Amino acid sequence: MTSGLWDISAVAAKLLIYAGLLGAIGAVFFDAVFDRKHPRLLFGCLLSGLFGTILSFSLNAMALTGSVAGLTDPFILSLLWGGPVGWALALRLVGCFFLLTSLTRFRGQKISVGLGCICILASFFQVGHVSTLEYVTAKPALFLHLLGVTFWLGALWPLYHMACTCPPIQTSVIAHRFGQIAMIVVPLLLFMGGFLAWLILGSFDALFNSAYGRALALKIAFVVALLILATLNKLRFVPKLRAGDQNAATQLAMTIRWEALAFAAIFLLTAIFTSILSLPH
Amino acid sequence: MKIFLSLALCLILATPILAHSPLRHTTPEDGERLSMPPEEIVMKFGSDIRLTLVQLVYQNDTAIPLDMSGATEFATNFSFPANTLNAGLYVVEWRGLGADGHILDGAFEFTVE
Repeated sequence: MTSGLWDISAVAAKLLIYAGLLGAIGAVFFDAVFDRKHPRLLFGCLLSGLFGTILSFSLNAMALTGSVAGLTDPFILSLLWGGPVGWALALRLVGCFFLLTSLTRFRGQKISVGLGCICILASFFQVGHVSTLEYVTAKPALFLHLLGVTFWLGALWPLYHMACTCPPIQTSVIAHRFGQIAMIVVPLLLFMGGFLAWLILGSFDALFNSAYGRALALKIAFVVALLILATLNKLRFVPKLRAGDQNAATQLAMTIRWEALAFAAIFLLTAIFTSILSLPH
Repeated sequence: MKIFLSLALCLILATPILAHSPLRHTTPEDGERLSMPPEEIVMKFGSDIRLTLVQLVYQNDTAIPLDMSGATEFATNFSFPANTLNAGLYVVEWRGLGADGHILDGAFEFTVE
């Protein structure tokens, strides 16, 4: 596999992992907070996350030998399985299984789903640049950052679906409540993200003096765009929706589509600088 | 959307040269021309790595695997005995697993005159 093709495949696998696994947790959160199940969304996210997880592991095995032989090489597979890559794979597989139980009903289901969320979020500590940071606060910060991301991401499709199909008043109740919770979650998400960026870069200058920093700066630009869209929704479209304005539902749906695109761009950039770019030294 | 995807693709394709490559120092150095064949190939990395493949490619044609029996752990410094090498261009290709789970690879070359 050529270097370019390898990079594209590795980035694609990460995109599937981010959107799939974080989206699945988000779908579960949305159900827990707003009592609205979206089984097809959850199932689709889990499927995408699982595919990305297995693809990523397979690509790693191939990359270590430089050929498909790595997929069946016992030494390579045991090396990966016994290290952080193996831990991430195991936690993601177990996490997906636990999250699937949210589609069923049994005693202890909430514990099972909670464990699934923790397993998947903890898998992100195993690999990547944060895993090498020697600060005890780095992992809790990543946990809270990802938790915030999942809450926001998981609400996109349900809110979009409601804006397109439900009466404005019904949509506004959920959208308003989501906005109220977001007032706490989003600042926390931003603060933790900023804190992690500071831990990784070490200085403000590194944001512009390194390829990694510049990619991060571009990601911050997309985050700002996302915040503008969210502010527009909260301060303009949701109040109009509460007043029963049907046009506001269309506008809300449109901004949610743009929010989804901004999320895609943020995930793509994150996948690029965690897969391809080196940390600034 | 198309513009965004095109830009993203350009960014991905333009960056492999920046890929994770923590190799700090090698002996022989990259591009070095030697009057005598080296006795060993030395590689020093900036962070721990578990090497999985190190080979010499002679004249862009023949791959010669190096003896990796001394490189079975995560480490930063590695040295591989080089058997008597003929005159010509050698490319040292390496691959390995970083301590953070990232796959690392790279290459450097030297010439025996």
